[in-house]
Amino acid sequence: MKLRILLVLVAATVGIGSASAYAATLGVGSWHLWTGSQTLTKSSCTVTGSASTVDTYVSEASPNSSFGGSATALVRADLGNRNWTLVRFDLSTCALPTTAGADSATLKLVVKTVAAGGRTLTLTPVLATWVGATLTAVQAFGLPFGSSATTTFPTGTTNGATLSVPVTIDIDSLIKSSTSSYGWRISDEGSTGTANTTIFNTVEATTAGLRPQLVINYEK
Amino acid sequence: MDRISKTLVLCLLVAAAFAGTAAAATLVIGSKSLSAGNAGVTSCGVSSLSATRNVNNGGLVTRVDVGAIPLACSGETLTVTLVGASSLSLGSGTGVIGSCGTTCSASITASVTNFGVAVSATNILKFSFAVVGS
Repeated sequence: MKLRILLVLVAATVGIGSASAYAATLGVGSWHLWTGSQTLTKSSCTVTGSASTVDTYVSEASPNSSFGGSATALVRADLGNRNWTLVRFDLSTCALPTTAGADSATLKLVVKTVAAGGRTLTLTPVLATWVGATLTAVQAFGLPFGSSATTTFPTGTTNGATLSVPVTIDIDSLIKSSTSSYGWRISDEGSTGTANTTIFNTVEATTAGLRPQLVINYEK
Repeated sequence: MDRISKTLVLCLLVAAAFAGTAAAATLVIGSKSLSAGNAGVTSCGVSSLSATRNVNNGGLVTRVDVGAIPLACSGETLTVTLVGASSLSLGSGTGVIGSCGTTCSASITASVTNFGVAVSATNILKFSFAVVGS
């Protein structure tokens, strides 16, 4: 009987000793771990029409004139005779939550008449409000603009073409900052001296499909 | 006698079992030691996370910011995986969760800027997070 008890005790001691060796070398007990996820909802919004769009152009040759009611808007490079087109949209109709972010945003413009050979135009954000109906070149040249252009884009050589200009970074920033959208200036920073005027359709165009549009795809 | 024999056999079986375990515990692979076990893993206090992402003008993700992380997670590692359709990983990156700096607030943030590949924001349907640290 004593022998049996002794043997059991020996076996148990060996077993406990082995288990203790494991615990002494275990090194993961103090780590943190958390995992989770966030599902995104996708949506889109197209801003168009006279109620949500303001556009015009200004003429350096007629510095105190305004062209807010024109059905066309000009862009021209020649210093002293420059034309800028300005366009902005009221994003409130999209009811974008401040937690949203733009997946893509595209400004769509229909070019009525391209310059010979086509031009490369520059799109720059406007940083203060302006009144489309009365904006003059004197006023426009005094507006603050983004320190760098959002993008440049080619007009192509086809009259009546719809140009899709990416403005994702600006719209994404506007959504996150909850600031008002003051739109963009379209200018021609290219060479001068030849016929270089590009003419766009504006929101005053009779045909709805010719008017500027802003298409936003976003997550929320 | 029979009882003693049975007891001896039982003891041998027990000893053999632990001898096998002991052999595993002392297994040597090169100069490294091997051990095994399990332990409870806790969180640093995160119950949920929410991210916002920035894009460039081409719609590619340039940065993901995660806010409202508990202060206790400061210095730990945040992994963000951009998940697309069919739960496929589009890209993944890590960032160190910031410290509270000179002014501590109720929470801290972390940013991830490199996902290994260019990922279009349009394709992202979900953010997956992992917070790991000690």
